[in-house]
Amino acid sequence: MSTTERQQAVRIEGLSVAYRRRGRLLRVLDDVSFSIGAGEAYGLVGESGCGKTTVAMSLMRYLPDNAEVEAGRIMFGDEDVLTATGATLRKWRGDRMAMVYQDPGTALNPSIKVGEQIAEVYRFHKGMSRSEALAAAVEMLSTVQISAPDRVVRRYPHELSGGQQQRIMFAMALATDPDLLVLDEPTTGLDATVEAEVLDLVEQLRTQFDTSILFVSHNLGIVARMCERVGVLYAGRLIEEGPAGELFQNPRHPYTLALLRCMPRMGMSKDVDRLDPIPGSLPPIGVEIAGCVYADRCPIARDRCRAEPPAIEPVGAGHGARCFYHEDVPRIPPRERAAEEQAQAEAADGGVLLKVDDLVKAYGSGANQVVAVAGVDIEVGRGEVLGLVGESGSGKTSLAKCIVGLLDPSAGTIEFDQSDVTKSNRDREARRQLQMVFQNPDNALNPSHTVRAILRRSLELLAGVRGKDKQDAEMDDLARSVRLEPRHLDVRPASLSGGLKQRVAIARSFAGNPSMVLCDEPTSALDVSVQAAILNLLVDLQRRHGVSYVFISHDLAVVRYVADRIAVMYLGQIVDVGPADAVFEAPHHPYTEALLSAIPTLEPDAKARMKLHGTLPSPAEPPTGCRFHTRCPRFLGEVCTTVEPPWQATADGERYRCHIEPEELARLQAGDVEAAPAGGAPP
Amino acid sequence: MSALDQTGLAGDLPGGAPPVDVRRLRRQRRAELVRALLHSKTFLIGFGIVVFWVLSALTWRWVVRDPQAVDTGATLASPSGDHWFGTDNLGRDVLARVIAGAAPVLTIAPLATLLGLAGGTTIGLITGYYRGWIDDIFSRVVDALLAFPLIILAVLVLASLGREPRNVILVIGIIFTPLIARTVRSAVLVEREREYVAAARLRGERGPRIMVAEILPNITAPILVEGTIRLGYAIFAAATLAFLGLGIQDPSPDWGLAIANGRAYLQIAWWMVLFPAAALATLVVSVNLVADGLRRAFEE
Repeated sequence: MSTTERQQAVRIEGLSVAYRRRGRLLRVLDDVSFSIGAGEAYGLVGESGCGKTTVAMSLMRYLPDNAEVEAGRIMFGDEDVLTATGATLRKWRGDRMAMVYQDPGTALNPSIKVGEQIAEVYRFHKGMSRSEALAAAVEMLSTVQISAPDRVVRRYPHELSGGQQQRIMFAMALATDPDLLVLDEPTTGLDATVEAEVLDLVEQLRTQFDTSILFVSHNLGIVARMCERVGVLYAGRLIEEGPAGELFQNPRHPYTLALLRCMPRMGMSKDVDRLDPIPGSLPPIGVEIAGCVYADRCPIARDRCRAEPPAIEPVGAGHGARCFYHEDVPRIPPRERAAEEQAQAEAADGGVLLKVDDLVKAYGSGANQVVAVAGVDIEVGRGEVLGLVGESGSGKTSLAKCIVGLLDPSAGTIEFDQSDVTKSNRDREARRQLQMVFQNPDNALNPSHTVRAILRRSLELLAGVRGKDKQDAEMDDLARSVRLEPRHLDVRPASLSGGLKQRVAIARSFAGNPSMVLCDEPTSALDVSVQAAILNLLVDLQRRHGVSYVFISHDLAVVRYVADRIAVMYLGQIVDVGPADAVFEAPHHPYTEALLSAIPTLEPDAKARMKLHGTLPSPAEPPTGCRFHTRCPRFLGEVCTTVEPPWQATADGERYRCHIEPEELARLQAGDVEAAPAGGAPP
Repeated sequence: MSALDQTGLAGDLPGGAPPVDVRRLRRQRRAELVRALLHSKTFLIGFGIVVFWVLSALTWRWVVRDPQAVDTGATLASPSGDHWFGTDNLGRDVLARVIAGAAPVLTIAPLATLLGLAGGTTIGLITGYYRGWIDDIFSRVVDALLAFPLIILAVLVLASLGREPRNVILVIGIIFTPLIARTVRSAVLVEREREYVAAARLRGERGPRIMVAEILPNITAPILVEGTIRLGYAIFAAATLAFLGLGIQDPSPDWGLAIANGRAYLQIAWWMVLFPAAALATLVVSVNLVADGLRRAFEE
């Protein structure tokens, strides 16, 4: 492999780790081996529960008390991390290896100023004096591109935004110029534009510090962009490894291929493409499997796959796949489409179903008032899917809760099917018509009720079905429509997987045959393979019942896939709205432009990113004039800060709120593509 | 390419779980809880002692001699082969009275706790779910109540209502109500923000049903733990009231009463105080051990 030529920073050999739970040992990592070269970025990808974090924690030897390393070595230089003494480890952590965690909010000590937290690293590892260390901290903060570092050092963590906090974490991690940097989902909790900024920072820091990186992520796009080599984990086993470009272009393990195929890619739309979910589910943790761990879900599995475990077979330069039949992998056809799904029902054009007029939702009063939704007008047609996009704090969930009747709006009106439903105390008919699917199915299903009880209650209250026999008959239909099997009905939600739980939640909202369903990030808590199945289901249901969706998501590729029209929210206002294609094509609002360019893609020829500066202003004190002017890359001048921008209409039916005319904006946004430098592309 | 023909062998149910047997799953979950409890030394020791005292309360009639039998020839006799724990000032066997004394305390304390649980759960659900003015009023009442020494309250009520066991149960239960309500309220505050409550409101469930059918089943663990902790306090409170002469009256073998009686003879007959006091201590401690074990088992 290519790393043998370079110097290896870390070498993991045959690592097996198990967790002890109630007296039983459950193996989560099984014979994992890989190495990271000096200065190399190695990406570790996989779905939740595959053991990614355990690898990262083993590297730092931060494993929890109930973990047991059953076998293996982690060679750091020529010493084994797993047998190092406590004193050596303490010296290494922070000095030679450092880690950045998923949630910077909990990784920083809330009662110590951030400057002192960084300075502590210098004092402990470099023996600097207090003032020297603080000066070094200020310098480090400017290295991680924090503006006004001498002021930031005196702040407490809660006074900083998530992106700034994560920069502080990077500053602490890099303070001692470590040989190895472990990044465990460092951008997962951040918004798209902030994520893009942090990733830019990581890239830039890599050129500055010659550090090896282990980048753990579930997001294939990010890993493709950031890393030179990638390992794919499945059920605690490394099933494929290779150079990032090669592995994503030419995957040779059926799982890697399936993972790539089930992601909605930018530009895919429900009218043309169908997502390709992975059948089955991850084997339960701790179950001994005689053959290949993926055999049960694999389309090309044969008898041999169930009998003996495959070894990693070389399939190219530095590229290996743990599959007996890796040569067949490129020939696996996409799964067949069902006949019903191919027959496309035309979206019934039945006029306007939902009309929201100048809706305002404010929390608190007086000086503490926060206006989450600041005057929103939207219309959704019958049978139409409106995608609602925006970063956290943009007010999209407040808007959805007002529409569905969980919150009372402060001002404005909501008209549904030509009747006024502004207030939240609605009659049964209005509730039946307008339902919601929540973000987190763990939270949205009552853990102490069986699936049957949950669905029965909805059938009774929404569909008005009385009597046990009639309910049971209806329930079978309902369950079948979301592809739940009868055996799933009599269990409690805890014994269902995330995807099945979301099916139950969807079935519940469809019990009364609604005409509109609000989907609040329905797939963001799910793994990509499950997301594909849920999106397919939602699209099928929409076609079959002619139902409208308001589909909220932060994932633009997902919104692009399901939505007919898209509305972009920023600080409580809609700034861009129009047909899905039009919104995604220039000219569009500069904020939309920034959101689009923040997406990490698998395509190697991605254009240079447009950067957003600063942080989301507080909705308690929105900026004057155009609300986006504090961060706008196309900022014009005084007019933006003083005059509220007008709506502009483009030729393709899109409307956006900006002072720049469509022709001018189109020219500016097209210009960027040509002027874009070739740099910044993933390896 | 024959292998390619086998596509779809795992069914078309993405994210599907392996087949499940409901009854087996439920049994498994219960078995896991029981196993966690059996692994906990804290719980086992506490549970053993509680079982001992419950058995004593139920079977003392057939196990020890009559606790009321007076042996005029042996008053204030020290522990011996005949009277293991000695005798009291009237010549009654202390061992028999200690064993029989479990009965009154294990009647009053559990009933008082149940009363407090019923009232506290009701108030906690209502204030936690509805919030608003009803919650504000309740919180002020609890603050006021906590600022007032509870024992004085109990003394006042019992002095005016009479000293029957029924009134003792009532007083302890009523004092416990706001305390339990506070615990239940904080659990409800967490649960009401979960989306299954929003989903229930969306399908048109009314408040009382959401409280009882949706929220209550999910807060049984904290209620059970709180109830067990309160049981320990109830035992203590009942004994204190009896000691002060406000609870159970002579000739009941109640421990609090026995300690009060024995106090006058402490210097010549220490066994009259020591054994009932030790019995009381073991029961209170063991109930708390059970509470601790339960709490940890639920947290796991």
